[in-house]
Amino acid sequence: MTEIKNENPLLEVKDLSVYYVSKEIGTCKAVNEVSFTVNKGETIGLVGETGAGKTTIAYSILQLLQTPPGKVVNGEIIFNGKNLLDLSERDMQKIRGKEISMIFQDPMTALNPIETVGDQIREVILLHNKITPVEAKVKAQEMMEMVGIPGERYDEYAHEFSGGMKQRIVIAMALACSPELLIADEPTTALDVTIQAQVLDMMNDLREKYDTSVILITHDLGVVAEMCSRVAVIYAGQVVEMGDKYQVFNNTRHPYTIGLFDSLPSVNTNQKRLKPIKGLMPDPARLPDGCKFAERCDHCCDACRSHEIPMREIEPGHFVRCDFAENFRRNNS
Amino acid sequence: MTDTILELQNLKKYFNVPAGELHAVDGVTVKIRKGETLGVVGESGCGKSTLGRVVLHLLDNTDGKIIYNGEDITKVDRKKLTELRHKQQLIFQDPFSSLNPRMTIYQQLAEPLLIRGEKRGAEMDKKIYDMMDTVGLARRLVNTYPHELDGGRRQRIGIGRALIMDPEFIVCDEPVSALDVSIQAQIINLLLDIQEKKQLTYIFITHDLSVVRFISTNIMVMYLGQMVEYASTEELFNHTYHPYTRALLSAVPIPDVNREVNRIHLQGEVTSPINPKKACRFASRCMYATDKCRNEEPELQEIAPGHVVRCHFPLMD
Amino acid sequence: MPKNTAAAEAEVKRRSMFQESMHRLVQNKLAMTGLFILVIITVLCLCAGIICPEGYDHQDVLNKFVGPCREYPFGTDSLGRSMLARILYGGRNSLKIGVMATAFSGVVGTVLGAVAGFYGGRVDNIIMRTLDIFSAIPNMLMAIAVSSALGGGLINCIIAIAISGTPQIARTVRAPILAVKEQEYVEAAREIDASDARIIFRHVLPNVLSPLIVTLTSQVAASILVATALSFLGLGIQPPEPEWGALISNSRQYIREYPFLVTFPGLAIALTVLSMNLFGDGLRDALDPKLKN
Repeated sequence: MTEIKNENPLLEVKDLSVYYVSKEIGTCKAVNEVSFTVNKGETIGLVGETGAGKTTIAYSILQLLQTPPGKVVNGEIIFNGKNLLDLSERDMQKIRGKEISMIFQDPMTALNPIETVGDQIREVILLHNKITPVEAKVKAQEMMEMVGIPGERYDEYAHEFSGGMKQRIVIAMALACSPELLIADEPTTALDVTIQAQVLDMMNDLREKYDTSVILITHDLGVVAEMCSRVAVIYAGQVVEMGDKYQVFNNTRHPYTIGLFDSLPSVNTNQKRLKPIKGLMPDPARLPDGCKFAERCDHCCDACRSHEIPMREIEPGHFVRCDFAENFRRNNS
Repeated sequence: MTDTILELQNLKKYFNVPAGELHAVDGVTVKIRKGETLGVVGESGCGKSTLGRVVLHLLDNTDGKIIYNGEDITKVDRKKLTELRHKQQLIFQDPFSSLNPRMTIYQQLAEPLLIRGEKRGAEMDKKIYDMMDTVGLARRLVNTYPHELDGGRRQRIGIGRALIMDPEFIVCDEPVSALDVSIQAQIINLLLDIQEKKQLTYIFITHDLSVVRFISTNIMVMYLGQMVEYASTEELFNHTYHPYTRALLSAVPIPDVNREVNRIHLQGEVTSPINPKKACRFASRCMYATDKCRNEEPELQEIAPGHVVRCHFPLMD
Repeated sequence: MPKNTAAAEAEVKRRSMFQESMHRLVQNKLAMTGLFILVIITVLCLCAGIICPEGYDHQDVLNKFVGPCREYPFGTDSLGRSMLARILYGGRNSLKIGVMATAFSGVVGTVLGAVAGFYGGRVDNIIMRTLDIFSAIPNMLMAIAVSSALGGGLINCIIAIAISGTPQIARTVRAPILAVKEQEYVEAAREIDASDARIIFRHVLPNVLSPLIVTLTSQVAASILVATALSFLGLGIQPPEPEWGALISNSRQYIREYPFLVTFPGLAIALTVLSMNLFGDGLRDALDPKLKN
């Protein structure tokens, strides 16, 4: 259960803060001093609810933030020793798709409806590799076979495929240049469970085959349990609990993470009612001082509201942003 | 069986589409008792939403019978429909598109009362404020518009709009699918509280098996328009006979890292629901499928008391 | 006690949608400027009799083509008539035509478009194809044909313009209705037993207001211009009754020597159209609750 300290992680996000500034709403603090690392070949899960800032983190890594209103106000994103925030847009374009690629939630909008899917994969390959179009086509067909779609369907259009197959094509496209890092933003949320199972299994196989590191953004703790080796729980733009997946699932310490687990319908117990977390996530334009979760926390005291809560390492590799983490533990049967 | 509130007999709904006849709901036979919840589970396109809308006469049915409180309501006139709509309500999945963006909470909740012919005034105000209390909306929000509220609150408006008619039967069409888990739990608790208080009967349509297991008395599993398995919740989860139900149950990711993932892999492509041939609709993805499955349509059979399954070779273990 | 406070608190915030909209409209400077100009133009036109007691057809034969001066602020035309008087009296006719023709085509077009879009199928086909036939004939030709069939005069002119404008309004309304009627809140309204009329007027139409208002304001401007053409052809307002468009077309042969003859009525039309559009845009924004604050 101890984390292997990797001297040179593939990606290191350090104290990243991203604000959206607009005249009407004011400053919306979407991401606040988020730090995490991604080691070679590992899958890290970013878990959180709508509006927690997960997607903003992904967009910042790829420098796809719309500026304005979005703005990285602080931090470093170090990928293979380079700070991505210092790179020019031209250099970034070389990295995007080749070294880091992204899968979006909705496979329907990620594919161009008037271009054959094969050509779309080939285009990505051509963009980043110096090979002839014919070679690229062969490569594209190989990619399709790899995600379980017959190469003969190269000349078909997106609408001729089912939702699950479309998402597999999107994955083939993302992996076409064997990126070192894959960012998957809710890759299976739009899919049915049986299809989701197929896609997740396939992603697992491919990751092993290519030794790709994955940042998996999701709200589904079940998906995290199956896919990830490490987890970072995001709440109101902050990492509130992070660690090895066994640490976070079996030794849950932050009241928010505990609340997330508890609000799921339990399979075993005969409970009459669910245990929701009371209230709502704070408005990112009006974040409270101190602990961002204080208002919804059953154990909150004055001390929680008085100062910014630091991340603490409560066991090797397990970080919790709560001063009283030792007092809480999820009662998981 | 006097306490049966709704009975569906071989209910069918076909749509005419350019490619032929789409069998959206094809032969659903089920009984729901008063105060119980029937969970309808299935993947997208299995006809579960269509079923809910046919029951509520938002869509006409093609064949079969709907019996409500012992009365055949398959075909009804306008007057009867009005009467039914006071008793039967619908809660929608999408809290964004199910509320008129140009109406405040007050107007949304007043609308059913106005249609029923009630007069504006103190009495109506009271009803609306009471309903806001019931569904857990702060009274100060009475004049806000839907877009100013988060998904959970919007869903509470939708629930309030259904409840203010004082119905006895509600179809909930994926009411929590669009919500975050912590909010989802709030809404499920609310639905359960109201059910207990008002003795409501629910049809709860969802694709989420953990939710349906928690909330339902009985569960019906649908696949491509057909009911493939039906049993009480406990029975269904303990003894699963249909291969599809098994695959579905095994596909759900469980948030538990100590449990070994033991998954049934479905192969093949989903059969088209347009002009389906006389065969088992699941055969193309079923690992146990035989020639009989591919050539002969299985009938519903009662395999254990109260447990119905549509399969030639139910899995007995 | 706490219950009362809660109710009171709610009462304080309680403002009807109309009041909310008006509040937002008043906040919009451009819209209020537009409204202000419109009001001034309208009041001036209504008070034409007081400002120019001599009337629009008093001829001062000795003072033809006089440039703007103290006695004739906007100069005089080829017959020595005060341009100011003719513009003010003409404004009555132009505004009447613009507003009334638009109101007529607005009501008819909205109802037709709403019914066609909402019911779809055969109803939609019959209504829209009929309107297509109408719109296959160019607007101007249509107006000419109608008014030559009905004869000249203000009322006939309004009818002619209204008929030629209706198809466009109907189409503007129908397109967004096709999208709105698929929304779940329309289904929800049906489930609470709302009648079709109620669904159309309360749940569907308010949600297609934005494009409608924009079209209507530009339609007012367009109607004034069509009226101009009609009177130029001798089919609209009959001389010596003035009308803005007619003022311009009558003066076009003197445009080099006496540009003010065209400038002032031109300015009147431009100002009216501009302020109408400004106000229309403001109104559209004010009626959209999503743009609150």
